Amino acid sequence: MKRVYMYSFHERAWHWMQAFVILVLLYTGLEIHLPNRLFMCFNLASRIHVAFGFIFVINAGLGLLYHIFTNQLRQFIPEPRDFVSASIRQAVFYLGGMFRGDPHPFEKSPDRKLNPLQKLTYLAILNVLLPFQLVTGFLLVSAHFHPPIVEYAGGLEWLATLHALAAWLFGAFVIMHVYLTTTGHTPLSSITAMITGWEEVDDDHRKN
Amino acid sequence: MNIRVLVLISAAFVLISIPTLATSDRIHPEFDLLDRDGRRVIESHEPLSPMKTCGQCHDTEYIESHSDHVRPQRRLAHEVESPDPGSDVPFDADWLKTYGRRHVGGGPARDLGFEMNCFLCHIETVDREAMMGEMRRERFEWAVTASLGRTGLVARVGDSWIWKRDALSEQGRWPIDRIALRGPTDENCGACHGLVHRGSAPLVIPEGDPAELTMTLRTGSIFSGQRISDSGISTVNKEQTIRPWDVHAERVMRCSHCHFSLNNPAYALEIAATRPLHLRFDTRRQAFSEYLHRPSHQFARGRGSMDADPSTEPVTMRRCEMCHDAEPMHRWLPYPGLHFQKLSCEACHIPTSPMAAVREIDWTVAGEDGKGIVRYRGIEGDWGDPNAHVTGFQPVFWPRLDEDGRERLAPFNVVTTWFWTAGEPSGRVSPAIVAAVFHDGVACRPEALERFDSNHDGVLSDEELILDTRDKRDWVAARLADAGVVNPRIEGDAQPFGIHHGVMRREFALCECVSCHAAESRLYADLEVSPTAPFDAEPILRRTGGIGNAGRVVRATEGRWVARMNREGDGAPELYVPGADRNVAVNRIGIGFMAVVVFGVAVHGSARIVTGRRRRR
Repeated sequence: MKRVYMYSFHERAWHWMQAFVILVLLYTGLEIHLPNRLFMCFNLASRIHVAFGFIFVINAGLGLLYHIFTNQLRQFIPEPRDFVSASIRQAVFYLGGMFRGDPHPFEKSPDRKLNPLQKLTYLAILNVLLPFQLVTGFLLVSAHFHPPIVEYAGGLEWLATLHALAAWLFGAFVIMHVYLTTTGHTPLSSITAMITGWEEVDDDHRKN
Repeated sequence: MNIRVLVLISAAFVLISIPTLATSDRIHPEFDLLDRDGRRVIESHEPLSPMKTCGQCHDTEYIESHSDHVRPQRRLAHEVESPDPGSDVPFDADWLKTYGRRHVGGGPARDLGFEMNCFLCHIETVDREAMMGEMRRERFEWAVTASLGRTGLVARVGDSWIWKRDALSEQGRWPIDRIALRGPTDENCGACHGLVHRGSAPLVIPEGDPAELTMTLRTGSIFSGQRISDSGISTVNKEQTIRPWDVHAERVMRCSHCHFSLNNPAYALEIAATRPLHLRFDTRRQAFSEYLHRPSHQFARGRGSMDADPSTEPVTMRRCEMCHDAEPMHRWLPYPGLHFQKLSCEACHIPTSPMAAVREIDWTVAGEDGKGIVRYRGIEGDWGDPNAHVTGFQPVFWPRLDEDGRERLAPFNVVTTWFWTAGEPSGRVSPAIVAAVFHDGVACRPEALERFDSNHDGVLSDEELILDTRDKRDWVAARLADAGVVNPRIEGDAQPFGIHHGVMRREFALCECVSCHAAESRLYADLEVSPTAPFDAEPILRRTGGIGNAGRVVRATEGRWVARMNREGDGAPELYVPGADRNVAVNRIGIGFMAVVVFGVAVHGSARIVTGRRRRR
């Protein structure tokens, strides 16, 4: 095993900030969606939800800029070559190889932190789910300023329904994401890495 | 001079001067009381003519032609005297004998001899009983004179009235120093329109016929600045209810402050329809002397609950926001603009009525007095009974079309009138015929007792008089048919009444978010229209008062009808209330998706743990 400095301070700070904001948004969103079921009053929940929505946007924008200027954005872009077979190999590992103790099919390195399935997932989340949620949320929160746009988008009820559906998908992603952090070298190695920046990886890893 | 004597003389002078000072602001001069031919009544001994008497200085023809109050046909509906809405019956002597108590005369009534009675609203003590008595005897020309019965100016002698010379001024004119003439007070308005109360005496529900409390009966509104806790009405949590019955009354506003004469220079407000586009405010005013000569008696009004066609009845009253700046007081409210677009001020500031109101008037049966049975909401006990416990009620919120073209949720009470109709086209069956089914003029008919007297006490109570079964309905229908009524059937007429009085100030207004933003949203709460409607009868909602198609009366269970906001389909308001409106299917999909993920994680994780242990062994 070798210790690798996997995540820079900026990456870690950005990640935990975004994680905190998403959890707050999910919690307050649930409070708005189902009032009187949780532990926060509706008024406070709605104010926090909107405020954190804007924080979410700002943080996402900062993250985008960071990844662009550090040339890290390429990490999120799937490589066309061998992408399908590589994805199948990763899926087979999750469904079978992991139980047999097989090594990870892809070596994790500071220049290549995401496996093909992760890239596919982040591609969908960052390019579809996140913008969709931001747009519907912004239209909902500012509906009274531009009724024609809201009307064109299908009306408040339709927007709110889509926003809620996307929120459920975000919630499911969070559960899946947290679980998959336990599939590293040890159950806590990935989370530890996201805290300290250092992660232990196999030094005799099979090359893909 | 002894200083003590000087003080006493000064005090006496002040005391003597007080009445003089108090009356010095009376600008109305003495005037002759004239009959229809312009002769002094003290000489002709004829009934007084307000058109001639008041017409000495005021343009009474103008006033009569510019008065909402002289138009009787469109003003009275679903009153407790008759199942007929006033608009559907011809105006004649019988109409006046039925509704005349709350009619000022003039207009079509003038043709019958009942002139516009200025004194109803311009003096303090009006003898309505005497006035009504003359109308019942069809001596309409004497009705105005009789209404002065309590002033001491006239006295009844036998079947007629004589003018009392010694009660008039030295010149035989109206004694203005003794009987003041002044602008209408709240009490004058309240005499016909609802329960109005001023002063420190505890407010109580007046005994006797409540028919004159129309606004209170229809909406539960009381115009009084007295705190509910100080009133004599037994209400829920009375001791803790320190808010007044109406905040505007508490702030010493009068009815005429909002319902002002449209050409009163002090209040004149040019309506948008006639105001030049480039003017916000027109400084040109009618001279006060011109106004006094020709005071319009068309008073500023909002959208009346009776108005089926609002285009014919322009709204002339100031809206809340024309006097109030809501923005500084609602900074605590998230998205105030959105709330103001969707909610009327009344929705939050009159969210409940602490007073009871009429729920149903059932003319399909008849009480001992031959009238229909009035059923109330929000009261345990009888109306007017000091021991009755008033629980109040929550009005239904329905979208109301406002003058700016927006639909806003506003509180409504719904009063349903049940009645028998017959023939084609259908006409309403006379209450006298219905009454004859139950009473023979002396006592209850034995056949009626047999079917309705469930507690066998020999008396038909209001609770027992209800046609809630097929047997009872068919029996009454058969008796009506025996009386010559063709094809009798029951219809229901549900009338919405917007609630605009009984305003609460902010400390007591609806400001808890979860009142509306919750599964049990206040905005979507039902209002019971009829818990036990006549068998198989269906109330038809009148679309008046600006309510849109979202207002519905629907059957909740067999025989029970509720007023409800239609939330889906045609006519549903453009409304999405977070916390109250949610798509159940999306929630199920979302929760299902989460469950699948959690299940997958659990299975995958368990398998990893098990296989990991095996490998280690």
